[in-house]
Amino acid sequence: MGAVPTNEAPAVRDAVAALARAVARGTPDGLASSFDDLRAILERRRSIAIGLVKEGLLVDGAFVEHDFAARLYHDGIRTLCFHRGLTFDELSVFASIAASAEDREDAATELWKAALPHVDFASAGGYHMDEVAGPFVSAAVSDIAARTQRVLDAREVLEAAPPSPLWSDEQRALADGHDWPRVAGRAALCILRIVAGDYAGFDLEALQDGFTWLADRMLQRGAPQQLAQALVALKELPSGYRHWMAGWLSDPARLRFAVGLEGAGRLVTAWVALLPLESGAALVAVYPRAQDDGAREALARAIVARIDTCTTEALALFRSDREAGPLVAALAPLAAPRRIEFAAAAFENPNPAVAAQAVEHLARDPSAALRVLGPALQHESRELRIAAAVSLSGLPGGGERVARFFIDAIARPAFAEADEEEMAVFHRCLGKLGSNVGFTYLTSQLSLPQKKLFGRKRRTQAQLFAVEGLAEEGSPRSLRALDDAAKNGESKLVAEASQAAARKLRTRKLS
Amino acid sequence: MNAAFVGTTQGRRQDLGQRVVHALFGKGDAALDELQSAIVALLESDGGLDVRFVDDGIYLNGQKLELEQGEQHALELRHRGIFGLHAAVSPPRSDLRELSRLLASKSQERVGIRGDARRPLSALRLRVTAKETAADAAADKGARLVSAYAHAVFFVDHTIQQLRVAGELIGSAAASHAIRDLVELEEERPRQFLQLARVKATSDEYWGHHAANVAVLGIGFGARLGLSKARRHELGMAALFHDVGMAAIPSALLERGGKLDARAQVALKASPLFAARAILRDRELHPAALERALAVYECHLDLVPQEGAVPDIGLPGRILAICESYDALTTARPFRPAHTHNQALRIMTTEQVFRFDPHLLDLFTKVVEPLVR
Repeated sequence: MGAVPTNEAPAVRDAVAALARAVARGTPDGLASSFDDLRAILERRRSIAIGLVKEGLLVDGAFVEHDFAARLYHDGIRTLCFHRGLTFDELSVFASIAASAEDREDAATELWKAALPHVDFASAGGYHMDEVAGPFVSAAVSDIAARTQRVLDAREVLEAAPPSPLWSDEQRALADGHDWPRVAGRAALCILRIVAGDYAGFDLEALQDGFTWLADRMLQRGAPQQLAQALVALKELPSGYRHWMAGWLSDPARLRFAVGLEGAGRLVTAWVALLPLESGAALVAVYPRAQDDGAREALARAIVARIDTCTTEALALFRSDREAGPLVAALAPLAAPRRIEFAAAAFENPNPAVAAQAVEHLARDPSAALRVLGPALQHESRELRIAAAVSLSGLPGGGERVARFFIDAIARPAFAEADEEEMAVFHRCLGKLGSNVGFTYLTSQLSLPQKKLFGRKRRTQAQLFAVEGLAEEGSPRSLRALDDAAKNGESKLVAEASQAAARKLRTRKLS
Repeated sequence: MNAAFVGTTQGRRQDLGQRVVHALFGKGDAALDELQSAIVALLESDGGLDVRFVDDGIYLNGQKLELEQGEQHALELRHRGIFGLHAAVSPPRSDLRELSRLLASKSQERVGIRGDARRPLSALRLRVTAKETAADAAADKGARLVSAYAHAVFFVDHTIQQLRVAGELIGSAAASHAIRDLVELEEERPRQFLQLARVKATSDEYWGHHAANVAVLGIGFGARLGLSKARRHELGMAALFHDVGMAAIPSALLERGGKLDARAQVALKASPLFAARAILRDRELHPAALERALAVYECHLDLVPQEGAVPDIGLPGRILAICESYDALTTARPFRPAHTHNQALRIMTTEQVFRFDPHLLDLFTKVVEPLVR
């Protein structure tokens, strides 16, 4: 230690006490302030040595009562020394080691491994194995040491130049990646092998705790793929062996965190496979947290598989979550009444893409289709109107009623604002129904009265759509109607379109 | 007082010191008994013995002893070129007897750090200059090396023994301390360090020596590969634990000669998992423990298995697999004699080649070259 001015001792003690408080409280501000104090002192002297005793610290010959060093003392450290040149990073590493034993080896090994250039420490002498092993350690060790010494004495070894390194930095980096997720994943699998092989014995509970600890770390430190692999392996165990993870897996906070991870699809799939049937409501609750489709798809399948245990919550989710698409897609395996019930809820979803997905399910049930999709032809969403139109046109039976929905939709003033593609789709779908009502409407469009200059274009367009609708019906009566229009059409454009459509129909019939 | 010696109260150290000095200058077996018992007590409490004969008296582990003839004894010994003595492990009886003889001798012949060169001290070291010299430091390091190795051997034997009876285990922090010392001493004297791997066990303490030797080879190999200090420490720790799974197998089964029966083979196959269990059962797991557990398990796996998928084996496991096999082959067992260095490497590169990383095996042969003869 450097020469200490006599009036310096109180300042040193204060600085060390401040450091002790900062470590105990774990506050970065406190540590920064204490670092400033230490650095200022280290500008005046080369080092600050601190003795550790059971009850506190010895600083410059005076006792400072504080439990700051409890962990360090417990782990065998007896002196600490901060040297000039100490950096804040070094002090932070030191503070984290001194503050907590969580996820750490003994403090002496941690400090030794940290190899902080300006922080020295000395451990208590000896290895203290006798505290557990008893007084015979000395005799046993002495005997081993004597034989070891004889072996070493038998050969004189000269320490010449240090042996040459066998690897370059690049080779070493390549071979020894320090990939924590990989290590954690393999360790988790190792625990499961021990349990599966029935080798756990009286350590079963401790190993289970270890697996849980690992699972938490893999979750927190971004190792979802490794955790997924571990959970898949866990699923392979007989159910009696994996019950200990039930609480962990069902914990809402963990599940919420997991589904929110990027690329969590595989993890969520493995996770939900281990959850009981009654977990439906919990899955519904975390669904909105999912970050990507993979996680949503896994959750959706799991929710649908548990739909009877969470009907109310699930209906609300289908109705309101803008990302409910995977839920709708997962409905396929459900029996009709339930599928329709949830598809109808999804049809109310504010996201038109989700509602449009629901249309496919609804269209399979005629009564639901009429009830829900008929009015949907006037829905404010174009996507939804088109989806409803296409689905309704394929509905078996009920063509007359469906046709009325179409005619009402086409007749409404807003339809005049629709784009050409939508208009064409509606007319073709109406024709496809083959209904009398639809046929009458389409032929009536062909014989609309002539308009003056301003209405002429719209009339021609309506007639052309009617031609498309009749062509889609493809019946003898529609062929006749097209032939008539081809002969008697007042508009050349409509006549040519009718002629082409009729020709196409005939060709189709011949083939 | 030396910061390292803080385990004993000053009063107790004074008392033990008086006993040591009294016995040092005493005669007969009773004095030797007293000396041994006092040294053991000091080693247990302070972790070391360091007696200095200086101008104003005798110091024990940094504390001046209040003795009636302290200054006179110190003066006499200094006059004969003995300035102190120290030990890191309990000295055997032969050392104490030799020390007593040296101190009682009227000969003016100068002694060396290890006493009379014809009968060198084993665990005790003498200080033969007033100031610490490079030779003292080397002797101190030599003693520390032997002590760390011997404690590592003891730790493993004790751990296996206690695991068999579900008894209390020595905390891994003690082993970690020994491995820290081994890693540091390897840095300072790599060639002598490697020679520790020549120390072979008699049959009843095979596992301790085997594990400590694998630690020595692993640390030495890791150093040549340029692995970090922390990584070498992991190798050393994993080596100590790599065969503790043998605790699950009855000793009689392990010592049996000839071909193992089906039950023995099943038990042996499971032993790596038992070893991993011994680490993973610790409720305060940490990343280094995971690496350790994996290394002890994976070092027993075949790199290219006869059936099934190729396992994912980390670097520590690959290194230890090689070190473990080399030490096992070069050690005599009840069911076969020891193989020579060359025989062992031949077996590893032919019959056992599927077990090892070929690149590492190639490098390992360079590491163990100093053990050829």
